[in-house]
Amino acid sequence: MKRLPVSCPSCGGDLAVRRLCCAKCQTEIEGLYPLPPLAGFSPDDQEFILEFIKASGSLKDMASLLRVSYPTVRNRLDDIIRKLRQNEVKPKEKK
Amino acid sequence: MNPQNKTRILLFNPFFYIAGGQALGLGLAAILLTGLVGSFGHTHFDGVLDTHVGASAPLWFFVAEGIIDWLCLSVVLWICGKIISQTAFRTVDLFGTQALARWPAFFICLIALPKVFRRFPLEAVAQLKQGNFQFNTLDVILFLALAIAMLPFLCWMVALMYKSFSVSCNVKGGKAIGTFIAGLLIAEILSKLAMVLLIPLAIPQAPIPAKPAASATGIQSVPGDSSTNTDSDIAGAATHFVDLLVKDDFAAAIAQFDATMKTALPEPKLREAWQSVQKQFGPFQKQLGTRLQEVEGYKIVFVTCQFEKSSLDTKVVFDSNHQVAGLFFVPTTTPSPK
Repeated sequence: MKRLPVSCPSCGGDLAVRRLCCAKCQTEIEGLYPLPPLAGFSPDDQEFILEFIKASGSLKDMASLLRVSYPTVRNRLDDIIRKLRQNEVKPKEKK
Repeated sequence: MNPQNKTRILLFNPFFYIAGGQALGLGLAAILLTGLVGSFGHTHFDGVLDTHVGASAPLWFFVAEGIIDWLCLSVVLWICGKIISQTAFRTVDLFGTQALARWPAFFICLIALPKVFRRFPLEAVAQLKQGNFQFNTLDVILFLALAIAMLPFLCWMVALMYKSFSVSCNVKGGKAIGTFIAGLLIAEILSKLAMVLLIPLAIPQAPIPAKPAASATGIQSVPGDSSTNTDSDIAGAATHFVDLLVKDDFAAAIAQFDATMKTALPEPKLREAWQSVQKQFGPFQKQLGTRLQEVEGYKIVFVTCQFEKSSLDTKVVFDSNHQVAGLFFVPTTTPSPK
């Protein structure tokens, strides 16, 4: 599966969506749409976030699902929260 | 994850997989087992970072040492974590993983099991005091080899303690390492203080035989005298005390001292005195009997001992609490009792 690029290979800036296409009728829409915050995460992190939501946010359930310890899960979640906060700060800095 | 990586994680960061109550249970089991093996080899963990081979003690004392070390470090790191961590960590994770981090201590106890590890330091200290350097080369080599073999396990244990702190409190980098080192030093001091409080409870008061046979000890008892049993007890305590000297169990002998004697005649001095007597009068052979005197509330027992070259009285002075308040080695002045 191709990984969605989120940073510009030339200047390192955030990429935005320029064109969207309907998978059913092939209609194309052009515009300038920012990528959702979760798109900036690695596929592993995105999968973790999805599983976390499916587990109703239970760290214990996540720990048993992933077969790791509770603090390992919590630390990973902390890392994701930290990244999210950093991404939130970036746009503000640009403004 | 490839098996090699998993093995590395299990060895150096098992807390990736195990924490909380599970780690606490395994850790406490490891501390108990370490105490048990330590009691066989007299291996003391008398401080968070200390490992010494020393005096014999009850099993519970060896277990208590491990528990004190674990609790001291866990409490200090818990406070450190609350100060520097930005996450709300669970107490059971830190305490559980810290308990499990002590499991390399079990291997240290195994390494210390050979008798040479206990014998060599005692002999070395005694010989150094006498200025008589006659070390058995094999003993020296074995002792050094075992001591060096312990070091990797000690380093491993400290590495696990840090990982436990890092994972449980989600702290990393220089700040985490600095805080951990500071915490470790504070915990070391605290554990040492706790040991000072524990030792008086741990060293057993030497059991005073209930009714040693009067004829065996040579006591001249008066029928109907109410003090006869007490005198027999005192004489029995004195002969038991000499037995401890003969067995080189100076820690247990010192346990019978009162506070003044404990200060005036610590274990090395008592050992030195006993060895000096044997050097002068030859090896101890047997006890010949006892005589009892009472002076100003003190009960004085003369335990006549036969050494290879001569007989000598070990004069043991008991206070009203049956504690040894004085100890002398004096020439036998009266004929040896029966």
